[in-house]
Amino acid sequence: MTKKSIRLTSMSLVLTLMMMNMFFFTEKLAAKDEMVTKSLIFQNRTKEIAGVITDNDNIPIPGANIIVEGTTTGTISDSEGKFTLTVPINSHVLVSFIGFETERFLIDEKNDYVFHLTEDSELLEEVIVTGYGTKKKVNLTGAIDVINEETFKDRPATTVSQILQGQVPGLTGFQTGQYGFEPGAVMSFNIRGQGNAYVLVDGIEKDLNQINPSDIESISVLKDAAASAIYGARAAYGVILITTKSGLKGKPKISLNAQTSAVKAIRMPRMVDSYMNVLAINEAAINGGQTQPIKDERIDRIIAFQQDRTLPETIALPNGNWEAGNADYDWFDEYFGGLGLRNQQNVQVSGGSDIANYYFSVGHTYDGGILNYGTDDYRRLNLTTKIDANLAKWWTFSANTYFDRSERENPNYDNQGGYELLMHQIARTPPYQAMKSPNGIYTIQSKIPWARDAGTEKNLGNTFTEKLATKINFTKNWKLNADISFRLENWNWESVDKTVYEDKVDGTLVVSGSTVPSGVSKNQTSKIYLSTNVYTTFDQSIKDEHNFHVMLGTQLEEAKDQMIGGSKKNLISENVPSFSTSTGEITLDDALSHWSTMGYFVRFGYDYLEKYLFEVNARTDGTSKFAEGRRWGIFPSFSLGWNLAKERFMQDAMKNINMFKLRLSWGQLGNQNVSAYQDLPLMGTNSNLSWIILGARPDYTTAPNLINPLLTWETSETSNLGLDLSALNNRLTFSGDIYQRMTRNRLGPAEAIPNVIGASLPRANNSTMRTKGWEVSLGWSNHTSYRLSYFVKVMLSDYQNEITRYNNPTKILTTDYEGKKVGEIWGYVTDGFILTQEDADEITNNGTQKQFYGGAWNVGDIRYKDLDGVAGITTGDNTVNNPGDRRVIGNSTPRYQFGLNTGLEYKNFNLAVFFQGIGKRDLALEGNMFWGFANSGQESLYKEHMDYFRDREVEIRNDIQYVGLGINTDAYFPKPYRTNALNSKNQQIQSGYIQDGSYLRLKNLQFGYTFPKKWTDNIHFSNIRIYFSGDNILTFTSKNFHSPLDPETANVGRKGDGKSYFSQAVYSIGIDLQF
Amino acid sequence: MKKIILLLAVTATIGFWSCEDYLDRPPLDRIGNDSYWSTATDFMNYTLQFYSKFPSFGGGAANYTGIFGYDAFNGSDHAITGTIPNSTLNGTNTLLATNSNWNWSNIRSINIFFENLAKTNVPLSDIKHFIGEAHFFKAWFYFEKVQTFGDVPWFTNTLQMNSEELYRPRDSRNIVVDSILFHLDKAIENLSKLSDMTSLGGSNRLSKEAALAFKSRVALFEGTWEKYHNGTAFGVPNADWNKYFRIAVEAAEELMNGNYKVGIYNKSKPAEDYAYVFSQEDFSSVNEIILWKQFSVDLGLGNQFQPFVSGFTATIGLTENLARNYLSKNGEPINYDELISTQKGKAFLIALGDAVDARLSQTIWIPGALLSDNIHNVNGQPKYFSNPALNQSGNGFNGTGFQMRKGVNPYSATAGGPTGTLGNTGGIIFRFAEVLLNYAEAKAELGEPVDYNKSLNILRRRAGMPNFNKDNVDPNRSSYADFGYTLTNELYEIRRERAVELATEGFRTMDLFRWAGHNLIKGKRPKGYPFSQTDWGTTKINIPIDESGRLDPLKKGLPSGYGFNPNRDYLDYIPINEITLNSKLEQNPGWE
Repeated sequence: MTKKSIRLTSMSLVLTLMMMNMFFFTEKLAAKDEMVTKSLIFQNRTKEIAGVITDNDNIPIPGANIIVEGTTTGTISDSEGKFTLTVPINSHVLVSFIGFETERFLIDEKNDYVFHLTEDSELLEEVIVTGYGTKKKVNLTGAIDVINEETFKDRPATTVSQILQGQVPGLTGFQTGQYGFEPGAVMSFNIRGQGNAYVLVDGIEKDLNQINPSDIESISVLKDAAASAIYGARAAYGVILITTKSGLKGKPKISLNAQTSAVKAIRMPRMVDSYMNVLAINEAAINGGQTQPIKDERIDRIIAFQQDRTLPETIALPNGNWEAGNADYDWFDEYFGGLGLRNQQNVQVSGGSDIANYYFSVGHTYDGGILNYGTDDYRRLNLTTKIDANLAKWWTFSANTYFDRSERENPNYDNQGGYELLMHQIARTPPYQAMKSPNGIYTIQSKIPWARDAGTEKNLGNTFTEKLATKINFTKNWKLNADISFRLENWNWESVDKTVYEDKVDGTLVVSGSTVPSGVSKNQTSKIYLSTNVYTTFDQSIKDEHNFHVMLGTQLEEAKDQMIGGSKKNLISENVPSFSTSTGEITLDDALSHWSTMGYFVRFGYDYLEKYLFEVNARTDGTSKFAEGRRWGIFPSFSLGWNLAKERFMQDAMKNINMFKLRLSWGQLGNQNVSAYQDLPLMGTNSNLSWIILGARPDYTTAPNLINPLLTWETSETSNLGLDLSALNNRLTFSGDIYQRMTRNRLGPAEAIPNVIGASLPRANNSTMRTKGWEVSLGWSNHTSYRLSYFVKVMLSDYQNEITRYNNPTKILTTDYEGKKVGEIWGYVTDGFILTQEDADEITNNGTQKQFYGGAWNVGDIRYKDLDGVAGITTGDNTVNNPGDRRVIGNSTPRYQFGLNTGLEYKNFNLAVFFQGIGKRDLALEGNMFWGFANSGQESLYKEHMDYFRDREVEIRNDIQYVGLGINTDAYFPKPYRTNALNSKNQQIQSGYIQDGSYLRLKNLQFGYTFPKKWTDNIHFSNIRIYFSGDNILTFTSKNFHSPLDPETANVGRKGDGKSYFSQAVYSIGIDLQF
Repeated sequence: MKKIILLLAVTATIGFWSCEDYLDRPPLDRIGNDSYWSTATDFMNYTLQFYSKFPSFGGGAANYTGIFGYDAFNGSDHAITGTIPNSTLNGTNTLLATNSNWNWSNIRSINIFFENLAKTNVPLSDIKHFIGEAHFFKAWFYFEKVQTFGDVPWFTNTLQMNSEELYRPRDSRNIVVDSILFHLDKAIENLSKLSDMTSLGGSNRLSKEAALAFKSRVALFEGTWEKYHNGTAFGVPNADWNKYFRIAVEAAEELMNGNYKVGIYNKSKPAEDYAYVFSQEDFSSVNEIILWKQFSVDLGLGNQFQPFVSGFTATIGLTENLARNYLSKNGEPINYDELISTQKGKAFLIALGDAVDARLSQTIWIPGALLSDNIHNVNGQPKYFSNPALNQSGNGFNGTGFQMRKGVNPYSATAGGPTGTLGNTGGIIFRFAEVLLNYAEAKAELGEPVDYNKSLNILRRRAGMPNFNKDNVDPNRSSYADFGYTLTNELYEIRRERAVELATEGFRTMDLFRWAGHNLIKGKRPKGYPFSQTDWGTTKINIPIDESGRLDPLKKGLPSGYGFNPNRDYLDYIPINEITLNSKLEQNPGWE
């Protein structure tokens, strides 16, 4: 058993023990209930009753559900609201219908019944968590979306960010984790196309990816300025309020959930076989006038190997080394083929009494990744304790404690880069590379020793968060809230570099040079965050018509980060990597930083009969990030709401409308999210100069940064117009918003300043950006027949960012300029292939395309369109007005972001389907993952890449039947070469190779079965559900998407586009238990 | 009442924090420029940063061999890389929006030193040496710019985002060079002599000697540039090249006058003395090395030079044009054409090595030479060089048969080792031999008698060669040294001596450029040794061969020779972006 699986097993064991404990505990409780039940006398007499279901106005309700309580016996009302049902006497029936409250009626001696249902005002009365408070949904005037647990329950996702994708219109710009979808990948996203959202978990600023998704009760997304203005300083780009579950008064409720998933890479490229690979490489070399790199003798061995795979993968060279090889591997398949494992376990206990409510939870998540060589995993443990105590009738006190532990371990690779090299190196490993030498030792160039044995990097985070809050009701209308939150994060990062070896022909082992010397690096970061909120509210109603709300408050935040770290080379034993057991070069460094903000806020709200709503917020904030005198900003907002449905003329006109509300808001918010001290020229201090003096590498200093003493707040000003509608007993819901956000004093990119300035420029408040966008969501839910209910909700949103003011008088294209649509792709216009030698010679001799390559052009190279009338293809002066032969050929902004949630429940089965997609997006992909051919040794040849231009047959060696590389002048890819200089002829960013990055994905499909109550009751469970859940099951891409990769990862990768961890399909089975 | 107390308590708590100080969070781990510059150490630590800018061994194919690879990677008639033509020599560089050479951060950094020097209270005598270093580095960084771009704007002060100087035109190259020479004079004035530098780090640190050596290099460069480009777009109006030759001679003569700790390493072993000068880990006791970079694997600063000059090649191939510069052991020209018609392959290399100046066999691998005698021995036996790596690929490939050997130390632990093996071979920045060659060339350019006994003959003697003789004219000189203009025999032979002594030390590209030597490049194709298939048995070598049987590795890549454009390619282009942003910047000739 490996170390990993022992750890996994012990973790499961602990959780199982806990579950068993709880089971016994519950069993005792259940036994008590049983005694109560047994004392009741059961009567088995039944009779048939008839009835009609109506609303309070005596209008019949067809399709309502009638069930005998405690059984699965039931029926459904017909088109006139009528039903008949056989029921035991003296039992109860439960009558339910969507849009109405479920009611319980006693069946007595009568045979005919009329059941009146009351309209369910829940939807309208639904309380939404807003900034510093809650509000009834009907009274909202800001743009707020809420998703609750049902939306993402039992999704096999490891982090909350992965769950949110596609679920909220206006939650946009989702991007993969920093390496793609690596284990524990944290997706980045924004609200309405810009910036970072401010995330508060139960009112405490926290990393949403550190929390346990199954603890979440609801997520409010505050999108416009009016909704988020109360958070002023930190909320320029919206707020996400996450509310975790709490205990409710009542007997203990225990939930258990366990899930196991199999994970498989999707849209993983297929490498061509080794023979095809060498034919193509040789051709590319010959295209460029180079000598044939893979010699015939070797090709013969490659052919022989394909026919008889028991032959050696490589041969000995005279210099005592092994040749690269003649094997035949698909290295992606070798590294990432097969299944990965994920699992999750959660235990939640909650309950309460008059004195206190409690909620305890333990969650564990493990993602073992899909890498076959080396350790590449993620693990998280979450412990939560929440207690709400009632100290007096007027005084409550609550304590929330969260402990979040996450651990990421991944290959450290070969010391020349790190994890980001993993995919880069696999991608450039040719299929003929031998995996093992004939001595049975892994070759270095298989990269397996690097991935598997060269050490790992571990990042272990322990976050402890405590929030103490108190609420005092001075009078019925006057309340005071005060809370203090403290968060301590400890991050232990450790990277071990181990030396790896390969063998020579004579069996001696030689080191892989880049893995020498071995060593260990560690750093420890502690981050302390302290926040205090005090606010008081006053509510007054005059004659129940005029409702006033006033709030005053203050918030203080301070944070201090400390990192201490170092490294030491030359491990004595690689099994014991520590500073104490190393003997070599030592480095030591630290990093200290701190910041603070301080804010005062006020809110005034007024409504008349909940019909006309008005709210104004103002907040003033100071931050330590800016120089004295430029620290404070004032951020006001107001919003109006008009509940038309409450107007008499509407009530008369449209009886079926439950809510019809118009919202209008305007507000300003501030952003101070820049690195501190950009107003101070600070010296760089460094150690270990790469120069030795007197036997040591000295410390040294470097030039101070350029400064901007004028740096101050960026303000975003949002206007929002919204419409909320629900009709047909709330079966139909619609919500739509259009907005414009002006980001003024924007901390834009550095201005174009001549390079002679010799330094990178500080951030500056240098531009204005306008975001225009809209969001709609449309939902329908209904019961149609007996015990069948379904819902569907579609969400669609779009935005575009445009630079409206920026200091760039020359309109040079290196940075923003006025009128720039963010995301635009400038490039040349493809005019097909050069098809005749005469055309090629003409281009060579006239130098029309010397911009890309000054030498000879060939048939099969790209011909570019001359747009500007100036001879030849040029970049002009690289400005908007003279861009040469380039123009805007696409835009990388994801447009029309789309989500569709639908589900149905039938009897005890439920099915949920979630589609997510992007309607329009252009990608300008670069590098070998897209083009295939690259500088020698950097190629990645996949099936797709073989569709390259060939105007002559590739010479196939006689002794093998092989179909493949015939003439192909109607190719997708141009003529390939093996040097960057030559490939730059054809691999420019150009219109002909812009990829359509739109996609539609079956993001989640879930099928569950809830065991009948009578079974579960027998074993004292209140609920048992088993389910199957699948993520990323199907993906549809455009026919104009020629990358073998997933559209979400094709442009991600630190070492080039697409060199990122593959997207994965996740198939899970799980069980939910409650008792 | 309780409620009131609570309220008061909360109010008091807020009041406690509510003051502006709460928002004062000064830096905790950085020092401000204003409080820096208060001790001599501050100045020392600041100038130290620039040492890491000296060229030396590093990562990536172009740097594994450090300066020894520059002739190949920068492009010259003496070395090539693989089978791929150099884009500068081939004239295939393209005018782009950006150019990484147009980077001004070093010059800003050095100007910050001078700005703060003007303000400091530290006694200048305490920081004299560091002031000298700063002057040297300003000269060094500007010389890089002049070599690359010709005219460049001269900045005395650092620029701010609103400085008008950002939009200045370029200054004429001779004005810039005069400023460089001014700074070098200041450097010479302030830097300590090597003999006084034990506590500063000896020859790992800049010295008066290094500044003098650099001065001779800069002045000779500018003198020859202005002379040989005179009348072209690259020339300078009313150029006065003799002024620079005079400066070069004076700087060199100062170093040669016996008052400095410099010399030529000579242990009277002509077969190995020359090689020794490049292959050591510690040059501190070698007077010839005026400035060098020390490496130490233990300190995390190693290099892969030894593997890349023994078992591997970093793709470098030396050329026939270099090999033909070597005179026979008696100082006479050899009949190279006859030799290649009679001897092929390994036999040719052995015959050539036997025939000529011992520096050749210490620069180019000759079959039978000891490759490594160390832990990499196979079965305990030392390894000997047998055949150039024509059959290898990637970083092991040699395309010419002339495989670079200069700098190898077969006894070092890393010679013959696999790639990635880190060793400690020192990196040379300045050596005295160059100064002697600078002296001879500048003196001869002035038309004045050269004191060969104090200069080139010292170098010749080490290699066991007879004295310099300008009259030993090679009748076939035009086939490898035709500069396309008339030149005295003396200058021809001085240039030959420079080519031989400084072979593969990274001087050749700029030598060709300052001599306006495009005739040696344009339309020409570098050749290798006469190939012999019998050396290889059944192994097929895929390198093309020309009509006379010589390896012709660039035959496919350069069907009609290098496309060097003498009206353009001597200088790099100013990036388009910079001209767009600053309309006063003018593009270099030929790049529009």
